[in-house]
Amino acid sequence: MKKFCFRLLLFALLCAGIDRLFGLGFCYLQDRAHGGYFLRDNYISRTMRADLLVMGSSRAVHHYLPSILGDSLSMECYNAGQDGCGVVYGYGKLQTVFGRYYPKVLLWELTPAFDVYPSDNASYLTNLRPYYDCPGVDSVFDWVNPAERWKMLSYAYRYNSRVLNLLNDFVSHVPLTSDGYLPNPGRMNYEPEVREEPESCEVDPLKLRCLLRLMEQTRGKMRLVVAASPRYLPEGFAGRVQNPGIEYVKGLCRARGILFLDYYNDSRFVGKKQYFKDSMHLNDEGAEVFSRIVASDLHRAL
Amino acid sequence: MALNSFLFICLFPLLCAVYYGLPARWGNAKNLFLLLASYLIYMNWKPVFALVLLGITVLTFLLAPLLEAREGGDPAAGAGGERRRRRIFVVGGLLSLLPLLCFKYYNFLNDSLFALLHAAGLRWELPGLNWAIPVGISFYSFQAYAYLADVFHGRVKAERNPVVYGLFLSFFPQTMCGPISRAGELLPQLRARHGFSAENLSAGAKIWLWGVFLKAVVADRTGMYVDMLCANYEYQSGALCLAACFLYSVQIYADFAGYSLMAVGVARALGFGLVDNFCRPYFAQGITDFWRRWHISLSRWLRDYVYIPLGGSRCAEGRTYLNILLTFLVSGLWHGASWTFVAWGAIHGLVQVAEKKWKFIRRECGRVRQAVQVLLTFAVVNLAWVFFRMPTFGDAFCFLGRIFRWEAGAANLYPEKSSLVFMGAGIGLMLLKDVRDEFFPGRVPLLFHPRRSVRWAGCLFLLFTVLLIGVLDAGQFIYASF
Repeated sequence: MKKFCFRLLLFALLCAGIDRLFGLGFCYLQDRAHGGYFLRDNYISRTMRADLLVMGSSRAVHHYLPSILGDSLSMECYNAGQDGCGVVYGYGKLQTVFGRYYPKVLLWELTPAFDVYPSDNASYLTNLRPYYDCPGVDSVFDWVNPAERWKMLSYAYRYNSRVLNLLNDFVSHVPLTSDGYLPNPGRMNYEPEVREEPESCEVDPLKLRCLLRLMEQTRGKMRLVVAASPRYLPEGFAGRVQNPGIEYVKGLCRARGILFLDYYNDSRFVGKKQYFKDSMHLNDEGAEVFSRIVASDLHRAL
Repeated sequence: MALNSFLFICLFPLLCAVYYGLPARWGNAKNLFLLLASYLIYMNWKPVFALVLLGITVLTFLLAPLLEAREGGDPAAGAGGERRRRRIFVVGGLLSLLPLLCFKYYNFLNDSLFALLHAAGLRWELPGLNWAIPVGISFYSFQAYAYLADVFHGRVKAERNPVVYGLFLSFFPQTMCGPISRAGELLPQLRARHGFSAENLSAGAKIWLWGVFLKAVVADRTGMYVDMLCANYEYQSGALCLAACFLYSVQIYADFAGYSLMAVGVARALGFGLVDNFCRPYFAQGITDFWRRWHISLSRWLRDYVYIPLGGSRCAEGRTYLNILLTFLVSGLWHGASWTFVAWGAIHGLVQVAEKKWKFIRRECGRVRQAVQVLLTFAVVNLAWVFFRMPTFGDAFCFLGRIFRWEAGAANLYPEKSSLVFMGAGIGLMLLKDVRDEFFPGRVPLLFHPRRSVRWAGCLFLLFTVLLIGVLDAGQFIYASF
């Protein structure tokens, strides 16, 4: 028994040592990322000082051209959206920004599937884990699952599923983007099925907590604008389909005097396949048209 | 609580410490501790589910002694006593399966009956039940029924110790997804003394680790892509639908074999041997062989408690084929209360009947023919999985149509490069191990190598592979929903 316990202890120490070595190596690679997502993420969390910041999911990162928004509003603009991530990730990522400075305007692209409705919130933490040591980020991990605090003791876990990106971004010298926007080339060449919107709004308590905290945190420090960009609707569907998640957040914004820009069923995009990559995402052409509309509306409102 | 969850990983060493801390001679106390731990772990899903497990346990524990044939026989009782015993067995068997029938099949039967009557112009519908199915009910119900049947047929004696019997049905490694243990295998182990064994602990941990690898690195990684493709299959090309079909075969094998290995590993660490549920099923030559290698504990159950009672193969040829077909229809229904599962079972049953009738699968043949047999079997199994995966017949046929017509996709979804590499690495490693176990058994035993340094290197490699490329926040095991 004693022998077994001794060997078990030795094995555990070996694991801890290897894990620490992985951690040192990964931190080195992360700090010296020359391209890809890690360079973009490092920039957002460590260097960026843009006055107008766009946040949200893939519908943020592919829909808002910072060059158009920035020119129109005479502000430096950066698009910090992240594919497949919503308010849980966004709230955590913003803590790395707010720890350094407050932008003048925060434009939040609302995607109910990621920002309102229940889903597996732990999956949004993957891109945040390498930045766990940034002040304020740990709170969102605690909210998702208190056990995350213990899991984050492992450096291998922090970089779970990101190892190849890390190596690629270290070797590659091609930045993904200069202003955060990621182009979405291509055109939808099929007629998608119009999916039913949920009838009632089931709100994820954690997502609501992040949204409310964000609204609270930005009050008095910057202008928060929430927007819902267009999705594809065939002719004849304009204004016929309401999304309860969007209506719910619209209500929250109204109660707090936050500007809400609703383009979800905008007639200017109805039946225009040339503006879409798929039913939920604009392509480059659509993003340019949409960014001009947003820029003009923001110019009037701010 | 799943056997790969963080909470379980934290709690299990404590559980082991207490279990091995109790002296081996306090067998009943050790079993009582395991029984309490098993119920607490089970209640972690939903406490009220434990009442169903407890109900089945109490019922079968009380009925089993009544089913035992008196030694030497009581001449006075005679045929009347036998009839009474048989009646108790039929009633007890039905009662032990009743919760399963209610929770899992009520809505299915109700909907099917309504559809049938509706087609005949009648509208008669009972209210639907919005109940969650207790986790693992299909597994422990079958185990309880098998126990009653074994006692009735005199294969085992009725267990008189409630703690031992309670643990037999609720033993935490096997409650969620099996394996379905036989009373003759597990009850004697539960009655035996279990002292501390470093060998069992270390072997159990290694088996568990390989199970976690299969689940986190292979099943959940492929599952992410399969889910994405299947959710939008109507916009995917025939090639991608075929890829989804192949990857689902990989996913379901890695998922279920992964869980089974975790269960076997955890039980082994505590000194118990559970049946190994899988034996490289995709190397099977023929569907009959496939079912000797896939979900072995269920196959045994179906053979012993459905196929043989129906008459098995000791009857006319046509009747034997009917028995095979009926057994596989039960297998399909066991997997899910839907006609797509019945179709999946029917495909397996029909192919097996065809194999028996025309004998086109040969065991003694050249390597090329063997390889062709393996590939054909894999193709049939793949095709059948489509009915298992898709929610409706319409979806399944549409999905297969895209493959056979080799249609172009309107919005093809490809995985990220890193995901593709991780998937390839996981599947490759799994395939390597299965090839070694199948064709070179005992060669290059990485985790069980005689040299400690190799064993440790193997364990560290697996552990860090799971941590670095495994999907660590994925959901439920596929078979947990059955």
